[in-house]
Amino acid sequence: MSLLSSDRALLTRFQAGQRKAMETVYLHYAPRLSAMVMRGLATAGGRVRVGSPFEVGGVVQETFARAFQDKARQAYDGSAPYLSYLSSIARNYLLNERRVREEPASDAALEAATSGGEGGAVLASAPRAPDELAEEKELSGLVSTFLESRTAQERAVFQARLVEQQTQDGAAASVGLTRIQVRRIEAHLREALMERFKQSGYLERVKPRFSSLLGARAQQGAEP
Amino acid sequence: MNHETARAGIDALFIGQLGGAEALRAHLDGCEECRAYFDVTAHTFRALTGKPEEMTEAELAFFAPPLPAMPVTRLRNAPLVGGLLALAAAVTLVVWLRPSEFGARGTETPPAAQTSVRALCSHDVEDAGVVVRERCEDGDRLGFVAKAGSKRFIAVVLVDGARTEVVISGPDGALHGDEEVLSAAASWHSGARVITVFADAPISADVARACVDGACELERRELPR
Repeated sequence: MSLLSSDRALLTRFQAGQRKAMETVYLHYAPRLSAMVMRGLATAGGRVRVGSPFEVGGVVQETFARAFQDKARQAYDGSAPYLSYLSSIARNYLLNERRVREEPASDAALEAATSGGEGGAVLASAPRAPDELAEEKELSGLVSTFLESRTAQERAVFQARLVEQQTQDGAAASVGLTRIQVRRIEAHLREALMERFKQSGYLERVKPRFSSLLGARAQQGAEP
Repeated sequence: MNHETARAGIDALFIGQLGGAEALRAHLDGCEECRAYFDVTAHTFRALTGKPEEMTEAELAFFAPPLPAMPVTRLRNAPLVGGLLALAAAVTLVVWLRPSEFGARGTETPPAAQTSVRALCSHDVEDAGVVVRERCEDGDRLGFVAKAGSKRFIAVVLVDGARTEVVISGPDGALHGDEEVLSAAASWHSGARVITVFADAPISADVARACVDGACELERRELPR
């Protein structure tokens, strides 16, 4: 069962428009929705999808802005998976307002397989090209070297926050520090890691592999 | 905002130090090159998690939809109100810092026309209840309530050693007269300084940071601790 359909108290607070409940819902479902939008939302004739993280973020934001409106919150009664509800909104938005082209898809069943479950994001990714594999190897090497020069405590915070994406409280409990200590170490780590990426030129070398919706629309030009 | 400051903004976002997201978002909407840099940076940080298709925490914050304002309770009689709040098992703790502790100084503007900023510390407590503290503690959410006077735009800079956090008023940076809670907040650390900057036009995070040590011509006040 999904979070909202299994937690009636949360659903009640969510329908009442309580900020904390809405934040919880957003943080739980947004990463899952982003994965679905990136893979493709099934349509009658195929699928629609957006590949660039920036574009996906925009679609996710717009979807939640609509889903969080009073009427939309009241319309969701918890009987169906909330991710399906969100994906319907995202699909309609992409088709009707962003006018993203449908593409034939042999894997349209992906959405059906992922929309109701909690583990949707762990489906295997598509096979990667050799240059992608090379970039992954380079990134892995950069991160390994970076971590070698860190203390055990810093490595533990890195693992908990940047890899496992635990909450700050969760990371503090698992690492044995206070939340504020975790915050400070994480801030230092992020800054140092970004510096390492920049020094190595990695961010400049890596090619963006994501289709830009805005670019695609500009090229389509004649489309209404 | 130009390409360079946009890139710096993207770096700040993924480091966790971005102040106002609106200006960066507006620039990215119109800049394909900067979006490509955003995408590569996002993809790099996603790769660390092993989930390249899922938004990271930084992206979630950047693309968060509009949410209702945080509930704010003004504590006139802290023990009494605190007790009532605890009884009600409210979900948010708020400690109101008295104006005498966080008040503007060094200005000749009549009080009625003065743009004012109040600081408050809050600490989210899960449904378990509320603990009221007289003073801010490390890690508390440091929120701000601003009231427009002669200036309609403000930025608040929290300086903690070499680190800065910038909070800018409203979605478009403008105040509208009545007291309003700024949608963004900073995190309180012991020993931090809070500097407010006032202007007649939107203030970028970079300008706000430059004002910290007086390197700008905008009106600036440091809130005494």
